[in-house]
Amino acid sequence: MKLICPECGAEIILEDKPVENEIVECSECGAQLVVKQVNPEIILEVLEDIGEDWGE
Amino acid sequence: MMEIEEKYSAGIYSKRPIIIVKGKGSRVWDIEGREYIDCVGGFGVAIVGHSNEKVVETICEQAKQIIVCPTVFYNDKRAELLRLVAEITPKELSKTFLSNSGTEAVECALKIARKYTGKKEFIAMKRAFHGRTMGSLSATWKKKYKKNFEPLVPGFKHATFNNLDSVQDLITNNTAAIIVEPVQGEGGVYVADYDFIKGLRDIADDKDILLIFDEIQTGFGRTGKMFALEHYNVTPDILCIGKGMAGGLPIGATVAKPEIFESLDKGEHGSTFGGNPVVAAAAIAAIKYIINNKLPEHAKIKGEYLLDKLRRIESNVIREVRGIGLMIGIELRFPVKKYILEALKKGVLIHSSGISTLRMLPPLIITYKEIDMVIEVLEEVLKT
Repeated sequence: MKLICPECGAEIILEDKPVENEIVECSECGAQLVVKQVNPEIILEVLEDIGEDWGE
Repeated sequence: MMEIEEKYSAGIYSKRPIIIVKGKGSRVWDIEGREYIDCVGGFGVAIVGHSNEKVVETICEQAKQIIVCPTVFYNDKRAELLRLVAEITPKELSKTFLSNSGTEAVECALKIARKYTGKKEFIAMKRAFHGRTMGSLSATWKKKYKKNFEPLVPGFKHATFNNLDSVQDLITNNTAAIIVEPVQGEGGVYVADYDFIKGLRDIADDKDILLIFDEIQTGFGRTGKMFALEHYNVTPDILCIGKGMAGGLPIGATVAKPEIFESLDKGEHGSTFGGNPVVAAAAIAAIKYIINNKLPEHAKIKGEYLLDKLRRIESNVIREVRGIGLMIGIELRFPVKKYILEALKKGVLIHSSGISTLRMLPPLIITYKEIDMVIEVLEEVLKT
């Protein structure tokens, strides 16, 4: 399944159809995206900062 | 305690709801006496285990002897550590600058690369994490860490990890160095392909560019070799190390070919605390412990065992399990925080890489029994 990254426009390929709230990462720009809707079409949005620390 | 930290700390970490007061081996205890298996390992620092006896004894002895000795004076422990680092790293890398953290090790690498080559640009990788000070932050990839602190150091470009063409496309006559983590840690635990690392060395040699390895997280046995570079049989021009090097005390080190350091003039770089006797003595004890107890081998064998067990977990939440040695990422289809908190409630501490990857960096002395306990908890936590 091919999707388009809303951040950079690169193609994102998924093996299976995603479900709502699933996280997808763009391998081109590294944007972390959330699946907001799966029907009638899949809508990806850039995930807002969720206040976690991920560094080190 | 929690209230005090919340009130007086800078408040820049998203906290876990426990107060840790004690650690031993692969375990830590909270203030109420609850025990946890620690797969966070101080973000990969606790390689030789918490409060390792050899390290503790050495620190106590050295603290009684001398704590402060700036680098303008010679010191026996610092000298011994420098020689030991030269012995365990590739023979071409015979000079070391000691500092106090990984990001400092990277800052030094960037400075000496510019000075030695006389060139200004760097090629780093997408998903890279090299630190949060201005130079290392410029090499780091994620916008989240960078966007509010611009302008950063100019001259940094980012290539696609494991894609040599992408690196080639970014090279100019002004490229000083390529900087890469052999295994990207914070970026999600991605292991570099053999051909990619080999190819980077070839490109660097061909174009007269320096190659910098950031082995701050992968060094000292974490991936199943003393340094990850041994998996590729490639020697960089500059090697950045830190994390568990001093058994838990703060340390960073930049190790390089002698001619690169010789390009620096006196006073062009420095560190007040770098190479202080207590940390140097702790590092000698920790490195000897790693060698004498064959911890890289432990990481290899136990890592394979853990990876195999993780890959057998039946869960529609898991997208992929990847890693090398005891540096393991479990990519989930959903944000990881709720699973981290569930595991904590069941006695396992686990960290994240990004929003959707669980990261495991346990002490290399973790036992099979402890690994089985971790698996049992993860099976439960990830079953839905």
